[in-house]
Amino acid sequence: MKPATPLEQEDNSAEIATLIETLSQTEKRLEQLTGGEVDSVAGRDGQTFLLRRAQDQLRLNESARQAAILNALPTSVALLDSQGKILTVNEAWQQFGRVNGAHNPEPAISDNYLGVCDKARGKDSAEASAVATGIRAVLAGKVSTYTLEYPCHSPTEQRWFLMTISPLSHDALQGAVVMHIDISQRKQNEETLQQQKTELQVLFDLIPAMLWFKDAENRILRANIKVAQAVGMSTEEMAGRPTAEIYPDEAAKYHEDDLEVIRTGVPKLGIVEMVRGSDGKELWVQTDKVPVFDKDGDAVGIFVMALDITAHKLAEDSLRQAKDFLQLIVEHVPGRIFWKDLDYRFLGCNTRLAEDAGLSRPDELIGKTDFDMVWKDQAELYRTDDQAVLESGSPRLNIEEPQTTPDGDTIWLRTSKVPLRDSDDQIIGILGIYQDITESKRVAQELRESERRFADLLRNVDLISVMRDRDGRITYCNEYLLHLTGWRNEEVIGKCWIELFAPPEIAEQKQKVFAELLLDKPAARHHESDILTRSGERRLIYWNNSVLRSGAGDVTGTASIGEDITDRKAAERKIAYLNRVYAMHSDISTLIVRASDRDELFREACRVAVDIGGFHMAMIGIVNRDGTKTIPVASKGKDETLLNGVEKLMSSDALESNTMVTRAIKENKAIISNDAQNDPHVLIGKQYAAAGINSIIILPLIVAEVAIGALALFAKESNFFHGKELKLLTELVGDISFALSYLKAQEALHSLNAELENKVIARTADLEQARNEADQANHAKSAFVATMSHEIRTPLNGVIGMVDVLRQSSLKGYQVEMVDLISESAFSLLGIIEDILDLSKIEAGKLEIEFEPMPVADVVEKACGLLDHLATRKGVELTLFIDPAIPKEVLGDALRLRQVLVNVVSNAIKFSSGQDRQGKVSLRALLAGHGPNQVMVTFEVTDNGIGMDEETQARLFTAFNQADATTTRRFGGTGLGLVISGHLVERMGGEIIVHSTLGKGATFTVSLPFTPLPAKPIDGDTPVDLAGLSCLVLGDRGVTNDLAVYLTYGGALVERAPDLAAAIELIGTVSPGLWLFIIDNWDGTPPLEELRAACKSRLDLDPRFVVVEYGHHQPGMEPHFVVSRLGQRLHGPIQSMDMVTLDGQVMHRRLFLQAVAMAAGRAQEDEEKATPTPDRVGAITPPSREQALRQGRLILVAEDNETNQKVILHQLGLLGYKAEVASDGRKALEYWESGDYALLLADLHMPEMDGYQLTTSIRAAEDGKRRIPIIALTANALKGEADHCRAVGMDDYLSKPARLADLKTMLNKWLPTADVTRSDSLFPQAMASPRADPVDVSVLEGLVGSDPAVIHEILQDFRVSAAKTAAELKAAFAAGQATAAGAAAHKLKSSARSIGAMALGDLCATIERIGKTGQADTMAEPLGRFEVELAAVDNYLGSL
Amino acid sequence: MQYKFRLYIAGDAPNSALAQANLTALCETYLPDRYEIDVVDVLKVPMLALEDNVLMTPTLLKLEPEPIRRIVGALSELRTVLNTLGLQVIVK
Repeated sequence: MKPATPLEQEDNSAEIATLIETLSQTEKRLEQLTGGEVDSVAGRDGQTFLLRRAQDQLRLNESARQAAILNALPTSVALLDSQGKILTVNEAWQQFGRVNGAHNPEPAISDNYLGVCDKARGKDSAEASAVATGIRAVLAGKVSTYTLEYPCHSPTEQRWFLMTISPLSHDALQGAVVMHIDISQRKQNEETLQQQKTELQVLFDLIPAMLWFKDAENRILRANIKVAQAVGMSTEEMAGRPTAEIYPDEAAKYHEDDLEVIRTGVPKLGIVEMVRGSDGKELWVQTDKVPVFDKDGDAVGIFVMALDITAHKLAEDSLRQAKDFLQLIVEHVPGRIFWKDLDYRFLGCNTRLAEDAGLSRPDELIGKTDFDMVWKDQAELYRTDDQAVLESGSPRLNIEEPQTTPDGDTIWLRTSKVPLRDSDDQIIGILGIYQDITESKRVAQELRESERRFADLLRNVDLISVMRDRDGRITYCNEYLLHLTGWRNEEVIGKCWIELFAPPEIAEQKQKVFAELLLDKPAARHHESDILTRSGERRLIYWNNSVLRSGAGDVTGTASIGEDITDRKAAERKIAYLNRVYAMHSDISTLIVRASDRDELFREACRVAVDIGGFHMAMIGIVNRDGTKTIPVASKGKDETLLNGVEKLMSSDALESNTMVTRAIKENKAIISNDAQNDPHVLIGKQYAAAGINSIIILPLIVAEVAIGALALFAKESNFFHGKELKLLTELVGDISFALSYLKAQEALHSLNAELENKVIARTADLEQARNEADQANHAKSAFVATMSHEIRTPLNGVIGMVDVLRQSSLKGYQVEMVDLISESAFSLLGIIEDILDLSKIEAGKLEIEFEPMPVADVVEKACGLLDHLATRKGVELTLFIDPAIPKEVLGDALRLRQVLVNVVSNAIKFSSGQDRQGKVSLRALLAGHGPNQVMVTFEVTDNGIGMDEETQARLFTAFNQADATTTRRFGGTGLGLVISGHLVERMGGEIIVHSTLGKGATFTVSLPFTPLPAKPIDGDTPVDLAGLSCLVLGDRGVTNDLAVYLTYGGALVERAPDLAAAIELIGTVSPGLWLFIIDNWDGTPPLEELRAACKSRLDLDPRFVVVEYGHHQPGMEPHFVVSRLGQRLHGPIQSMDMVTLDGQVMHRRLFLQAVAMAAGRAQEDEEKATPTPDRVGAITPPSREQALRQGRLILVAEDNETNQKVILHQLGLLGYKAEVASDGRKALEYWESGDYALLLADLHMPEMDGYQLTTSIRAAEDGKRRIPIIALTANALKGEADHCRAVGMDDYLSKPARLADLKTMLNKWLPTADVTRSDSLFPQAMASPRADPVDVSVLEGLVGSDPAVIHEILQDFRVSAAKTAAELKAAFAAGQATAAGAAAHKLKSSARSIGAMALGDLCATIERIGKTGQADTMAEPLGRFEVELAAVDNYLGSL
Repeated sequence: MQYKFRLYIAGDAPNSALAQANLTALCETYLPDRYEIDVVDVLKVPMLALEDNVLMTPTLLKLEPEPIRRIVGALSELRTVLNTLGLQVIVK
């Protein structure tokens, strides 16, 4: 309905009033019409109107119901409006108010609950404030509900309430419901529970065992303090944890048990197990596990109690062990054990006894007496024993008694019974132990039977049976003994056996045997001995003895069984003897074949007779030369004394006597004595008796029917040599005799052989000596060569050094040539000597090859460089090619490789020079093979020289064999070079091969293996880059190929044209652009113009030319190429250059490539290097000693060789240094101590003190003070010497002969540059310095040193020669021969200047000049002055 | 013979409650096991009353057996109600 405007309301008010009246009337009328029985009516449109009465009734009903519900609640409920005012409260609220009004005034209807709360004071105020906040929050819709538990104790009871405040409806603005619920009961229950829990825990902790509850998942719910202590965790920490965390190691075991208990619901009690406590100690626990059930009877957990029984357990264990041990003893004692009480009842026994009694277990016996047992028949017997023990209180031991077994058999026992006493020593029973001795009793019985039978046996067999007591008296003997010996029994019994039966000589021994027998020694059990019969006959008896023992084991006597072996033994002995003789026979037969001489035969025969034949002694004697006596020659025997005696006898008696030996020899038959001790024929019977010899036989040795001696054999047995043996022995002697005659023949043969052998040996010795002498000579030769070489070298060094010095003086052209020739000759000689030295080293095997990093190309180039000069001089073209493929660096011996190359190439140059045709030599180094660790490089040296035939080639590498003896004369040289080269190549692991045709030249190919080293950039060796350059190479010979290879290596694109025509043709077709034409070795003028013309037709070509020429080179000219422009050879700017010419002689690869690069405009011409003046050193005036000392430039030279002294002094003088010489190391040390010297040049090898010692002494004495530089000088350029020099403290090293330039460099290095005057001439101009004397001696001193003797000598020489020359000069002048006068002046000029007579020298020069003009008349004036000056000089020199 | 009634009421307004109680008592007394009462609250289902042309509550309709009779009121006059419903009552 649209809200009406106020105006309309006013307008409608009348109508509204009418309608209300109608409504009232309508209702009233409806009531009347329906009698009040209708509640609602409906309009036609279906709208229902509830009549007001029905409405009122309905409302009343509703509120009545709600009130009833609220009032029925035991909870206090109040409804609040949105402002907190109490709208209504229920009956419980009102009742609470009524009951508690006095104490807690409860707000009533229409009170504002918030107001009440806000007003609360005192102890409840905080709570009330909280409540108010809660209500406000609920009313504001901020929270859905607010609750609070609070106590509200009355004087009679403890009460708690739960207050809840919740919104009345979901719309909080409607108000709220406040309820106070009495929760006292619940609270009380809770508190009780908590208390019970606490009490339970206390109870838990009080129990002296570990206790814990666990749930079904084995988590610990509760554990007591014992558990906590055991696991090292508090009870709180444990709560809720699984067992596995607490006992990680053993959880699984417990877990299984626990789960089983929970699953089955059956407790597990008394589990005894070992656990480890938190401290790692072993604990024994007894555990009970009881399931915990819920009220439905389901197991929901487990209660575990574990009691620590460790102590108990240990005690129990030890007790059980003790019991077990006792039981063990009882059970294992051999025999039966039982113990009875005082009433003879069994208390116990061991198992064996129980078994004896037919019982299965020992305890079945307990309580029974012997009368109850199977042995009740013997019970009375046993009882008697028992009583005796109990009554006496002492044991009864070893009672032997019978016993009935369960099987009814009777056995025998040996019983011991002892009383058992308690700790108070009161007898409490009997302990018995017994053994079954039935078996031993039976054995004893059987033994007695056996003995009796045995005794019967002994009586009747043919064996002696005797028993003796300990004193050796016979206690028993059998019939056989009596029968054998003839004694009667009564005569024997009781007698001492030994006295009666033993032969006297062995009585003592028998006594010893008997004593040993009584000790039961095994050795005494068996032996053989004689006994005597009553009639004195001896019988040999083999005895078996044993001891007799009493029951206690004591020896009571002996028993012996004896067998009569007399007859058997005799037979055996005879057999053995015959066997021995046979064996002897056999051995001597062998011996006869084997024996090489008589002595051996005799010696061995005697040895065999004794060792094999068993004779006591054997001896052979031979009749001496004159037949007067027998000489013993061999013997063998055990008795030295007897042997000596017999030998003496044999040798002493003459053959005339009548001894057995002489008889045997004389009568030529065997002589026998079978009773030597008593035989009157035997001379030394006594000695034989002492040695026990009884029989002797002497057998003659017969050679060629003559007895030459005799064999004597000695036996111990008497009556020994009879029939059969005699025959055998005779045969034996026959054999020996045969051997003797055979040997005699042999010896004759031997002596013949020996003679021959001696001759051979003597001859061999002679040869050996000859060889040794030859060896020594060869060695001496080597030593001589080495020494000579060295000795020659030293003076040669002087020559070379001096020539060097000489070259510095003002020499005339022809003199320079002469000096050069001297120098060259000296060097040549030095080379020869060094060759010889090398060869001697090689022959002595002392030459060593080095393996050091070596640049191959460099070595080859340098070797060629050395020979460049020679080749040029000889007019030989020398070309060089080094294969670019050869590794840059290899391991090898650079020195030796160079030596080989120089030898071979110089040879080639030598032999290809001086012919009609142009000499050509090429050296080509090529890579012949390449492996990972080795490369093979060949060096081919080809010449077009005279060549050689095959025979010569074969001899080429043999020492002192030049190809042709005549060549030596033609070409010079020792021919050692190739020999040395051959050896060196061999030592370097390579080979040298020569191919040659006579008259057409030769090719030497040296092949050498090298170990390649990894390539490394070498400083300053930036490769020349020709990449992409187009080149055309003209020419068709080998060298041209080499150039093409170089170009390709440089990266260029190479075309070849063998001749000009081909080149011109190619020019027409080549691609446009820059082209380089390389023209090699063109005969005559290179065809430059032709090529240029050809190129003109190709405007797109930019031609450049590189010409390689030969034979234009001037040694020492640098650089090796010149730049030409359009045919005019000129140096010019690079830009306009189109041609480069370079010298093909010893052309280096790099140089060639660089020339090409220059021609192509890719490289600049190398800067023209300042050409050093070769060798010539600026001549300097040496300072005086004082000057030098002042300048600190005085040098000390330690040198023993006078020549060397002079050389070095001169050299130093030339270089402007003043030096002093010490002739050995010791002197040098003295000089050095003066402290005057700035530098020391020391020879290494000097007498007294060598250079090393000198240096060591100086360095030691310097002790850190001013250090003098020391430079070593030595002729022996040995490897390692330089290192040695530095090691002892030297600073540098110079080898002799030192070249001036080297010396200068060295001195510049170690001494500061001198501020010295340099003059153009070596000799200062005399006029330049005013002086009084006509001679400045210092000039000469500067040249030769200040030695006055030397100076004097030189000067006196000068006086003589000057006078002589002056006479010549004057004579020539007088004759008008100006030229001759000039020549004489020239001669005097230089010598005058040398000695410092400058004015005289100048006058000579003037006269010389005039002499050349030929105008003798103008010579008069200077000649006058010359004579005056000469006189002055002579006077001056004479006054010195 | 089965009796089928429909009683229109207005919630638990006093006359409606009375009519329901009286009807139930009447049926139990005179028509045991032979009646069926369909109670319709017009406050909840007003349109059904409109179809039956019931304008006042409580109103009782006897739907079976025919003829259909209707009684308005609290059914407090037993005799009137029985007569209206066509039920013979023998008074002993």
